[in-house]
Amino acid sequence: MARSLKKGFFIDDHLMEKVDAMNQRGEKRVIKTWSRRSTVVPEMVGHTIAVHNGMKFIPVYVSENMVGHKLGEFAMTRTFRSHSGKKEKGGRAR
Amino acid sequence: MASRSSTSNGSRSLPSRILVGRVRRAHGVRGELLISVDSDNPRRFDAGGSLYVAGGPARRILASRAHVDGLLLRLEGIDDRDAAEALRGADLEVERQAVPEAPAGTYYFYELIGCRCRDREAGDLGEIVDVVEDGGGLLLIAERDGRSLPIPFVEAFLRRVDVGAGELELELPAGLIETCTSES
Repeated sequence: MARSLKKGFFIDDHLMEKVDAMNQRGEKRVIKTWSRRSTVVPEMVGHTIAVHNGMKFIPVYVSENMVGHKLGEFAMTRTFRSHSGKKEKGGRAR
Repeated sequence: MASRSSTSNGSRSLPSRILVGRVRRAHGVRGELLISVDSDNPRRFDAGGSLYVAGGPARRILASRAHVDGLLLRLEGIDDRDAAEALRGADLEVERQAVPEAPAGTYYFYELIGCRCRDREAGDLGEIVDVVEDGGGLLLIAERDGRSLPIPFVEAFLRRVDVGAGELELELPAGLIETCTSES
């Protein structure tokens, strides 16, 4: 069930304070967080947030299309053994 | 935006054959193969093309059609279920020369793997050993001295990509290396 609009989005205060402080200073340092439950807000766009996956920190470069999702969605918690080696598959830098 | 260099004049050795799919199982009694597709090229399995099956000689593609989450393929010389079943798990490959050059700003994973990574401030970060498709986009996994560092593959960090020479020059934000490096 969707979260009530009346409540607004959720973001941990300590994370929002760090993001606001960096925006005021115009800095782009990596922010370390365990707060996977926090929603990605427009103020975070362009920042890199190291999100803990239970074992280590995964760097997430926040882009506009991540807004509204939770940070935890971008740091997988299960080991994924990729077979990306020599396939005819590729990707572009976002 | 990062500048791209061609692979054609590079000194780095790239794999001679590129994986485009894998045989999952036989389908029906006429030698059709159900395969999983590992290629971004939509015309890769068109009839008339050829594939190296399980490291053996090239076989011509007679027909192909979509089936559930894979593709049904008919290959020259595979005419019955027994022959098809014998290929279960086999790799389907093409020559690297048959792979079209990636569009500007796009890189094949096999081009990125093995590249040496360098940060403008921190220096050598190690070698790219894997490219992981994570929830937040592509992550390059750089390894050096038994320690691995995931690096988001984003334009904002890339300064120069020379897949021919096997070099990536990056400008990572402060704190990323210290925060995200872990034992591999």
